[in-house]
Amino acid sequence: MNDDELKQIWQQQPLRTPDASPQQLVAAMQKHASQFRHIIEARDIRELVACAVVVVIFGIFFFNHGSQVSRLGDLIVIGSAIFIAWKLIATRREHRPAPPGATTIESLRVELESVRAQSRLLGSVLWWYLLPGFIGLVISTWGGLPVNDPGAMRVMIPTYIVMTLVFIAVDWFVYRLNQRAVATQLRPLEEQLEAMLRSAETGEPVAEKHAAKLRPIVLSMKASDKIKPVEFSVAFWQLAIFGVPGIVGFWFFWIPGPTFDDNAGKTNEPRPPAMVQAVFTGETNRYSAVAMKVVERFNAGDYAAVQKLYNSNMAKTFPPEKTATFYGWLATEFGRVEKFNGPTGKGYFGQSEFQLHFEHGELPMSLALDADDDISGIYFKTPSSASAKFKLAVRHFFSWRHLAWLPFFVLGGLLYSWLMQNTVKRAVGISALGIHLRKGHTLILWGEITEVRLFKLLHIRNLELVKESGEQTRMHWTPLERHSEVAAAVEKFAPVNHPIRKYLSLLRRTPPK
Amino acid sequence: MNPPPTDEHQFLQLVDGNRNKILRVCRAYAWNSADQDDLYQEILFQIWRGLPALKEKQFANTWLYRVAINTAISFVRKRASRLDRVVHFEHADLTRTIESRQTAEENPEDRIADLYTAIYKLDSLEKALVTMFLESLSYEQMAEVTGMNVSHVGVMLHRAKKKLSGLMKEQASP
Repeated sequence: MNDDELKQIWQQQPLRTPDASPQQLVAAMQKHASQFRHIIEARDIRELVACAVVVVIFGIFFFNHGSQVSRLGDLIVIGSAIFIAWKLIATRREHRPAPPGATTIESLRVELESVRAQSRLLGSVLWWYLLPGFIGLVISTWGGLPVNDPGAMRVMIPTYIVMTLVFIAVDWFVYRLNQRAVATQLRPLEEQLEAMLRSAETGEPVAEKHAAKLRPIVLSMKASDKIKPVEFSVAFWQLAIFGVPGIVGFWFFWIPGPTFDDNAGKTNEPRPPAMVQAVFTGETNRYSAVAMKVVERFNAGDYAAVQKLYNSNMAKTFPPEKTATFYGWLATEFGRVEKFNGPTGKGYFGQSEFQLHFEHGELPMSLALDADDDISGIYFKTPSSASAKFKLAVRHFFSWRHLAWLPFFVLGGLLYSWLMQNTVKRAVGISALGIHLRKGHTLILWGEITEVRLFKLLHIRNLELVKESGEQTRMHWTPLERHSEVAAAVEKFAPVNHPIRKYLSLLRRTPPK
Repeated sequence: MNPPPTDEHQFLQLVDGNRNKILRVCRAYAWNSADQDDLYQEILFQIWRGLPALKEKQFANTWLYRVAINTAISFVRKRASRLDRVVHFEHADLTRTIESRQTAEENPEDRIADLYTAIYKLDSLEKALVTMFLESLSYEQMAEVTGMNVSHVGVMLHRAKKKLSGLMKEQASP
């Protein structure tokens, strides 16, 4: 076939009419073009919203954390979120696409610069994205260590170690994911663009390995009658059964911190200068009288009146709002005081101690008075017996303040399930040709898969489909898909001795007899 | 500053006059009809965006190819970077291919299918040059579209045509 014949069949070929006419597209594009800048800005807004969420959450932590060190950590996290949003937006704005009508070489140069920038950004993700936030989180967490309370320390240190290990694991995972994206997507793309640019500038051919091409499907005629894949779909609720409890599980991990790190049980007051080291018999009356007043005003719910019993130093450190919050918490947790005994001896820092019998438990209350019978220190000691401590912890664990977070975790679980359903390369079909992914739009031929590896993360099982070149495609293969139909499809269609066959046991609901 | 709005009449005139050329570029770069439609819409969108900046109307033809080829190259690369580990697949295309292979006599549809299959195996730059060659553009026009110098266009096109011819012969042989 000569050049003219080729041109003739090319120019006279019948062409399929696209679904949308230019007129329809104009209407859509008029809207699209007018929104174009908004779309670009919308991507920036996405970063800003993510940043705002972090700022709000850690802003709340900042105002609630008692420890200055924790507050410093919160500020570092907030600062790093702002920096990340700025860096992403600035990098994006720095590398705009070439204008329509640019030559191929100009277009390739702009695209190459953009890919290099992305590559640099992801390559250095540890320094600008992960590390500042990690440092902030670690400082925020460890800064809340109750150093004055050895009992709580024993509980908190292992908890904080676990939390720190979780932070490290998450950061390591994100880091590896980014490095993998650089190695498997951006570097090859960069090399490919460099090769194409070099070729366009010098006229030299592009090396075969860099040629961007989508390969045509080489069909086996035998397979043509079996082309319809056996399809498997996973409903949203099926994913949610696993996803929601999984995310709610984080709530259980997260709650022990606020439960055991709660400062509501004590006032954290500095040791009063006029501390009464010992209580003499002659003085018990004045202590009992003040303790009685505290109990009466507490039972009446008049916390402002309790605060009026404080001396000037205490009143300054614990203003009415703070005092009301503390006694409100005490009333919620333990109820009213039914009776009290005492003074029963020396309590906190040698202060005079009373035993308070609440509706829901008992607490020792230590009281220090100054020379004017004003309260210079008050301390409620959490229960010392193991069973009482356990009861308190359980009640505290399931308090409304903690349960209020639960709906957010449930919503998080639903979001996770939705993301799983929409973003993963789930096998939606298996045919004589291979494994169909992305709702059947794409296909990995059986012959292309030279090795299969299993990758497990919690209940999620992935199969890494490895090609001869070493390229990997991760296919989700959750327990939800471990049913006999999938196994039957693989058994029916996968070639004999195909590496995927060694994972058939994962697909069986019941082990073979 | 925002660019001036696109003249709808000018846009429709340009697209209507070059509709088949754009569709052929789409078919050369996208294997299945869904991708072809996506690419067609993307090219039209880029024309719509860039048209207000087109000052010299006599160069509209070259300009249109620039937009179409650059958009197509970028489209293929984006698809490839996301999906190069998998093969695009469409039942209707497969059925057509199987049916055409089962027909004993060669017809124009087979020849065009063979031509596309061969073009498909070229790299993006070669594909661009071959497409423009088949559209009867001169070397100078191809150089204007790509930004390459004319002699490089000649060398690369010669090489691409040779490769294309080899691929078509390979397909024709039983």
